[in-house]
Amino acid sequence: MHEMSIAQGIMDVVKQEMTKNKMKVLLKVKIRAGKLNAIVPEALQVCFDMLLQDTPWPGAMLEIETIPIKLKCPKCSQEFLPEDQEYMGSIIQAPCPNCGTDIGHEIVSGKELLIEYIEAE
Amino acid sequence: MKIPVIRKILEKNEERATELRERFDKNNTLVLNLISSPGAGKTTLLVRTLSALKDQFKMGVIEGDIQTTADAERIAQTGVQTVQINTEGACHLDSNMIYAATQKMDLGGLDILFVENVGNLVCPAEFKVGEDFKIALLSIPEGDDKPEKYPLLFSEAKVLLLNKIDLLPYLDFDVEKVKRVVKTLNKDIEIFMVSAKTGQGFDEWLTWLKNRVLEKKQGK
Repeated sequence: MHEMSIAQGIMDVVKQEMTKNKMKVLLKVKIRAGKLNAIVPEALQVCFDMLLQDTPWPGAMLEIETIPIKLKCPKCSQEFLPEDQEYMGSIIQAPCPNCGTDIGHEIVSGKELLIEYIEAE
Repeated sequence: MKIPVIRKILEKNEERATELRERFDKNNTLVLNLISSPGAGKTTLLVRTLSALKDQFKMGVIEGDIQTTADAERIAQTGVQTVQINTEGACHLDSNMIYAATQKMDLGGLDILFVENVGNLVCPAEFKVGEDFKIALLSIPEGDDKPEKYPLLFSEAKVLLLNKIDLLPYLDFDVEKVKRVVKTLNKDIEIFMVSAKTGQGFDEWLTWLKNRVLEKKQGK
């Protein structure tokens, strides 16, 4: 259950941004979460809503965009998205669709954990 | 209005981790973040490792558990400096907890600091604690499908210790499959087959450790 720590991290950054931009009401937070981070969106939502209760804007929304895992082949430099993104096993055992190499793929995306923007007034 | 942010959610943890790392680097202390599921043998592995190296190196252990001081007591019996962190429910250690623990330690001249994380294959992989390397431990009874199910840890670890190999004759664990899967996303990972109970395979692991300590002393 790392979702509570992640919700806390979101809140820390959001509070700073609200002050910095002299905003009064937070309407929405949009985050990007890589598939490899194994975040359960429902759990993160519950934690976020819980922490919101201690803020002046308890009705703010959270939008979570899951970023698929993209790999880069070490041999032919082809970037590819493993087809089955739901099952981790098939993601990390995916051979390069171009040359078939199956060792040493670089992770191009799927590990990010970012706040993209907030909406506030 | 829409305000672009583009900031890391865990930036606070990472800033503190960077601070810690700078302090450890200045001290030439090798810091290893030991991660596995509960019961994989982290504490047993540490006890054997510490006992083997305690005459050569000055070492310390930060012991993370949700509850109890049982593991810290086992470690302390080796005579090595140990600090227990009880997370009271949290499933991983973070850099603030490590910072607080180091306040209670004598870091002067420390060659190796082991951080034994809370038993969990998911969350600890996400939170840096100022370590040089993550060391993943996977025990044979857990099954050979774990790297597929928890790819983040196995893609970031510098070393994979396959522990409890004394049980290999009794279980269907495909070592070659694990090696292949782990190397898909982490081709330079070092894999050592050990038994923390019998000491089998420990020479290679201890040699790896000694070489990393030497490198750290030379400021690499």
